[in-house]
Amino acid sequence: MKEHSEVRVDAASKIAGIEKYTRDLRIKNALVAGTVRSSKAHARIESISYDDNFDWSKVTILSAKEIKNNFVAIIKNDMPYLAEKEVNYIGEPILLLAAENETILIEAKKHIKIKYEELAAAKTLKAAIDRNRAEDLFEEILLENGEPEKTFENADSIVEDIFETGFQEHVYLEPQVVVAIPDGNTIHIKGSMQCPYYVQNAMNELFKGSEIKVDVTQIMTGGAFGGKEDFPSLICGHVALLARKTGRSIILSYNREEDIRFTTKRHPSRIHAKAAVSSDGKILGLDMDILLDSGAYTTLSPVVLARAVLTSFGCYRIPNVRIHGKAIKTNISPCGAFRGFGGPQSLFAIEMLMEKVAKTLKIPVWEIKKANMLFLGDKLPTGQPIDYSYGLPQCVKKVLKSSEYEKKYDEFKKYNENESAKAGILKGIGISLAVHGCGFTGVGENRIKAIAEMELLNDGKVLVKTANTEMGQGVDTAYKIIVSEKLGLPFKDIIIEEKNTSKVPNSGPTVASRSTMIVGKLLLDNCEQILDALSLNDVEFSSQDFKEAAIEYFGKHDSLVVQKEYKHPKFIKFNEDTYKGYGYPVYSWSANVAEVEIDLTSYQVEVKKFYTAHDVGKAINKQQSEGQIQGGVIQGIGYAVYEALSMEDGEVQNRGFRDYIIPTIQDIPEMYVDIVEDAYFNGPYGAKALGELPFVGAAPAVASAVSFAIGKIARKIPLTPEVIATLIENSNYEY
Amino acid sequence: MNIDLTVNGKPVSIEAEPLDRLLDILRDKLELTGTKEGCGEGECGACTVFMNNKLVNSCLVPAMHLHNANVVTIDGLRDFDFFRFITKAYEENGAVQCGFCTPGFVMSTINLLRNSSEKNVGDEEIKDAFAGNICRCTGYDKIIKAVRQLLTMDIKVPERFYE
Repeated sequence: MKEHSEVRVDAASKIAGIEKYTRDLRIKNALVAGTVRSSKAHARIESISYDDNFDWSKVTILSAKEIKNNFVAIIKNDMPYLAEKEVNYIGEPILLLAAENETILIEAKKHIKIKYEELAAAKTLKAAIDRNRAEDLFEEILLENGEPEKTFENADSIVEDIFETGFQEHVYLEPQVVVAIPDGNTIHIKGSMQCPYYVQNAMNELFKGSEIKVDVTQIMTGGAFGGKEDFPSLICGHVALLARKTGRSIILSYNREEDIRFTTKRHPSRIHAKAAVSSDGKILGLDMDILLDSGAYTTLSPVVLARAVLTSFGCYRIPNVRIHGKAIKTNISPCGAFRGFGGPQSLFAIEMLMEKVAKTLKIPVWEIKKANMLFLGDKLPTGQPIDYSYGLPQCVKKVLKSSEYEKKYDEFKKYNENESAKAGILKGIGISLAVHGCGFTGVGENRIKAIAEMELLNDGKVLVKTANTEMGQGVDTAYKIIVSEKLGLPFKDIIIEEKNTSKVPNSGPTVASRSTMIVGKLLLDNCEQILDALSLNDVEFSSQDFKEAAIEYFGKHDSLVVQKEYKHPKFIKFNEDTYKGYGYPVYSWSANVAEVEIDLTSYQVEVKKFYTAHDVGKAINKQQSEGQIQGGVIQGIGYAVYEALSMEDGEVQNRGFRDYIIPTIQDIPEMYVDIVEDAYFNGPYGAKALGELPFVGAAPAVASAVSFAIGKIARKIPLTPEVIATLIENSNYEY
Repeated sequence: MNIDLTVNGKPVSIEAEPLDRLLDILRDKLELTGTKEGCGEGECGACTVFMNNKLVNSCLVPAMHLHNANVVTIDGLRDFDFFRFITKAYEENGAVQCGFCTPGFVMSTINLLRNSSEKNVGDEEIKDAFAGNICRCTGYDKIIKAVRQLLTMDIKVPERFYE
């Protein structure tokens, strides 16, 4: 395939401000919805009372009592749409209100009193661990390989530490918003979301046994990053229930404060990691205890933990491992999907453990990483061989060259010894190797049985039908490139069907960096099916030939609709009990170098330069691929340095962009992006995962650079000035 | 209260409460939805518009300050000749992803273009010009490239709009 850097199909409409997002829809005669929430982290609801002096005739109130199937269908179905007898976190929805306008809602909320009987709560991960209750364990995974016990007994040295990562808020620029439009027994749901079929499935469960039918349409989504994967099912239920009750259209639109306080976050982690090391720096064994703070309900925590476990050995050849993961319930707002999905947490731990090994053995960190890096043909601790599409060595070569890492490593050391005190600045350079398992974990893809559909129209155009949503990542444009390349059609003859569950098949959720690799491949198969039907396979043809063949086809037939269901290649198998086998069908890889400066007065870390090389199999759209990489890196730098979500007494303290700081244009480093294309045999034109990987490698590279600068292991992110000050000033800080 | 103002060159008369936000007046009363709300506290810049020829966050402007004001939004600018150069530069440089922040960035771009030529604008000045706009998708690099390209072109942007 030739190189593409196509202009996004939605660029012009977004630049001109004519693209319609959910709040831009003009929904006639709609009521606005609001949520009455728990003010307690864990309590029994004793009573709810409504002030008699308030005019309730203008407000519709909906409580849990009115919901027959009161659970959000996802993995464990443990989260209710509304709490009935017990609340499990501050902010948990208890009542829904609907009224003509926001002002009435605000007033009405002041006239509702909820009495609670407080119950014991675990408001922090530590409290939950100390409490040690079996019922707080959402998921537990053990992956063992080789002889970890013996390896640790016989090791030259054992290096260990505890690594911690914080919450992170997605900060999609468009806050959560969904609408429900009743139409007889049907409720049409529209909104900002990643996965219309997740919502469809949840609505089918919610209204099971009733006459209500639901269809779901994704509207152009203003950023998501995982934040609109699981969460929209909850609020779509809210609007659907209100629409059924009132018979009116309902708009539920979170403002930024509500969004930051009460929507899902990235799981914080606490990881105790131990390496059994030979005197020359070979990692012979790895022992990790991964704890994820999951919040009050299960949501996607079991799969987030699975990815954390399967990412825990990073890009290294480690024969003997014991990886033990736990997703633990706490009484805080539930954590959910976020770009990287457990990977960033455990990759941070393994990369920083490498730093610690290097420091302990007094060997430069890159020597340690190089000595332990996977070779083509090596096996992961799951038994999966890495014997195809392994572009990491090329990434390493490129990034060492572009960054001049080795030269700067010595220069910065000298600078810190001789000049830093005078300049008041410490310099650091860090390196990270990162991996992202492409697509769903384990057998997930075989379970979902994704279907893509393509229809040949009688004017020779094709209609592409998938449920994969455009949220900024450029999937619509990528699909047009894939189809255009195969059918020889111009973009205008390739029409992307609306992401409406009554119009498109379930091609699976838009998550796990799977849309291009899995569904893009199905579309390529669909193209082959169409070419077969037109007798154009294996022959050279022009777009004119295609048109003529289409017209000829419709002379004899009424329609041509082709479908293809995804199945992994036969050898891709995974055992969910032992965690052995192919955790993922293939992996994407990156090598990253960060240069930082730390101001010794303010303790602020500034990332000055960032170099990265990504092996994505094939960059379907070169320019948008770079854009994904740059955006992911900056979000990862935010995770590493700026984004401190403050949780106190079970409650998010941040209220918006004033006190939840994400990188602005003033905070970005100079960026150098290289793309490596080590093709994956089963991806379209060789493409594999892209969207999440850029995030995964960024924070460890920055933390590696910070560790270099201050001479201590930066074992906790975000590295805010407070943490840096503690690291520099407190000699007892290290574990 | 009744307020008379000019929006995108057209005189309008609206009924509003003193503390109603300009953003809501534009979006809900005047159906001008090109201007977006990202934070509602003047931090993200998605709601940027010109008011009396200066960039403002429309989420922070109360109706009581609008009497006789001249407000210009992205909806009133997209048909100007210069706008197609901005579209082209943003497109060619891949400066758009989810697009929710984009109208705000475009407003700041227009403001920068009419006040500058390449000679006095380096990367620091570009970064200053967008200090009030937040983007979560792109990492900003491609937006900066688009703006740099625009600054090298001789684009005529009016000093004032609809006056």
